[in-house]
Amino acid sequence: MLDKLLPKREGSAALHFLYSAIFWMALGMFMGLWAAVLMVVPSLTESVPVLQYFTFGRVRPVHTNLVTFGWLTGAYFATLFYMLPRVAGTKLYSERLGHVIAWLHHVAIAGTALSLAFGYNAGREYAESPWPIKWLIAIIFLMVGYLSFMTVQKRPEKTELYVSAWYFLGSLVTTPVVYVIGNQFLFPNNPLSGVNDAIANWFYGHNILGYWFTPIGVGAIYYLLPKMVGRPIYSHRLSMIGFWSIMWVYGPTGTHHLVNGPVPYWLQSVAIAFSMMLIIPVWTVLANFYGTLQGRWHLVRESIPLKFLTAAMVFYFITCFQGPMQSLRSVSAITHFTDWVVGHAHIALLGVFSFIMYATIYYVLPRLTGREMWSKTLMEWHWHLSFWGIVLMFLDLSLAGLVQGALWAKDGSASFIESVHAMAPYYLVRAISGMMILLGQVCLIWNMYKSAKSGRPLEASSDQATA
Amino acid sequence: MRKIAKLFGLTCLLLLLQAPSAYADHMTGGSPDILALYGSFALIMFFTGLLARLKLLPFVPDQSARQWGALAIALGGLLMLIGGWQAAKLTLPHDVEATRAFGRATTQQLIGMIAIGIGAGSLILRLALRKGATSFGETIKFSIFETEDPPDPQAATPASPQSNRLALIPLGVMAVISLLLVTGVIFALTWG
Repeated sequence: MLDKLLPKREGSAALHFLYSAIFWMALGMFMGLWAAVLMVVPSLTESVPVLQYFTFGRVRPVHTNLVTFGWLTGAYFATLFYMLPRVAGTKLYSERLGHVIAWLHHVAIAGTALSLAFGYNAGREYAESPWPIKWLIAIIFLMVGYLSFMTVQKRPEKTELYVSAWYFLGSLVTTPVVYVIGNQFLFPNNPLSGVNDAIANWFYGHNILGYWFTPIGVGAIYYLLPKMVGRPIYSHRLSMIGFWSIMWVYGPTGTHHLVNGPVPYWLQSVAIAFSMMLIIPVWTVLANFYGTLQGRWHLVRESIPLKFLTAAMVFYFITCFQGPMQSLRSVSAITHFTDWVVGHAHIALLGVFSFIMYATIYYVLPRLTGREMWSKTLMEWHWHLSFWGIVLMFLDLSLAGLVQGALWAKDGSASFIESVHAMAPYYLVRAISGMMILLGQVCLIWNMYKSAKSGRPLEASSDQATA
Repeated sequence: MRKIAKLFGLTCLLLLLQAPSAYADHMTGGSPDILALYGSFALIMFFTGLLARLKLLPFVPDQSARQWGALAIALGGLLMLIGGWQAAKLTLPHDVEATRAFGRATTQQLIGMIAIGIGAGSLILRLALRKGATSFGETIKFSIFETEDPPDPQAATPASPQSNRLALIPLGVMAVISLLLVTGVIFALTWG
């Protein structure tokens, strides 16, 4: 029984997280689609009593928590458990502990989703879960940190570490600190109030992106890219500059979510200045990506994972071009509180980090299961639906945000109702793009299921690769 | 290097001399982004200075890298100070009175935060330097092929320099979307 729940087989903990992550992804994205449909047909929840648990106010935090902590975080744990032992030249310190973390993760995510659906909400963005679950998530991060550091500590040859390991370990040091500060210091009642609370909330809200989602994603790129194109990264030194600059720059950027608000003026300015500096780590990654692909671009045409990685790089640039721009006071005055910001969040978490994880799945899954992906056609469909879906959603929401912002500014928000009416076509397009994205993920999930059941054995392609 | 330094000095001078008309006037009533502008330049100076001291800047000779680094950091600090005083001369939003005392307070807060940041950052960098963590050569990047994880089969295909033109597609997409975003914002600001 114990061996079934907590097997010791190499790679099994990573596989456990991969499968559970796509479950949370499907559920989370369905909730997102449901929320988008409610924006088109708001009366939908009135006809059926049980749907009172699925009103927009309840479904929206379920969506954000499931896709960030259920899907992306679960996939990131799988990435860590697969890639970190390999760059350290050893095995995962304890597969069994990896499974314990996975089970705790299921409890935390299911608990978050249920409590939010029942209306228990801490009322702070990306930190809505009840405080016992906050404790559980903090413990999970500490356990993952312990497992990762022990894996590196026990490596047989104490040589320099490859850049991916730096990003992974750096992230595991900073994330628990950011999480605890942003989640009311794990107290049942929030010790902060008013403006101080808002500042702490956005210190967390932005840095969970900067110190968790970004470094693990970038670390995965530095692992995957050489493996996919058969060439080492362009410059290891440049990648290390990127690592140190991201650790240095990201910290004070959170307050750019509060510019033009009642927060200290100097703090807003510091946040804007540091946001501008984000271009440095972004350029190091982009420069390395382009340098590594020199003479290898033809591979992008053939490979779906490389297409996902290339698209992720494009979206990474756009995210980090748009982010500093909207932190400026004049731009923020137009875009803040509008759907422009929603578009920005989607291109970052879906267009960049989820796309990196799709490439990771296509690379890692065959190696863990010993079976090739079942259908190339389904991979193509997954790529096209996801890519065109997010492009459509991003452009739609950006445009919607600008229309909203301009209407609100026109005559001191007197045109608010006009702006609500103006959103109707944009919300319809958002729902359509959301449906495209979800359908793409159905292709991925079906392909993963069929690959596990009846995919071709991998031996042939492995021999070819090493020949 | 001297040309760059002169150009930078001239830019700083122009920034110092600019008139109050440099407000970023917008819907909230016109709040100046001037301090953020100084802050951005100052932080870039700090970062450049750190890179120079770590001998990571390719265009600075190793013999004088540490001195150039120190100079850049000092200039960054000076810019931050000037920024605080300059901000006090300009009107601030939400009816905050722009007095000298306000300027001093703003500057002190900024300097305090930067000092703590640089202190902590320096400590980490010093530890990293002592361990050799920032002076890796390029050999480590080949270690990715020494793992038990074989590369993808497609990686064995020969290089094709002609295929580099495909890189123009993502570059073009980045440029077009960036342009769309900027145009959209300018249009919304004007329309609003």
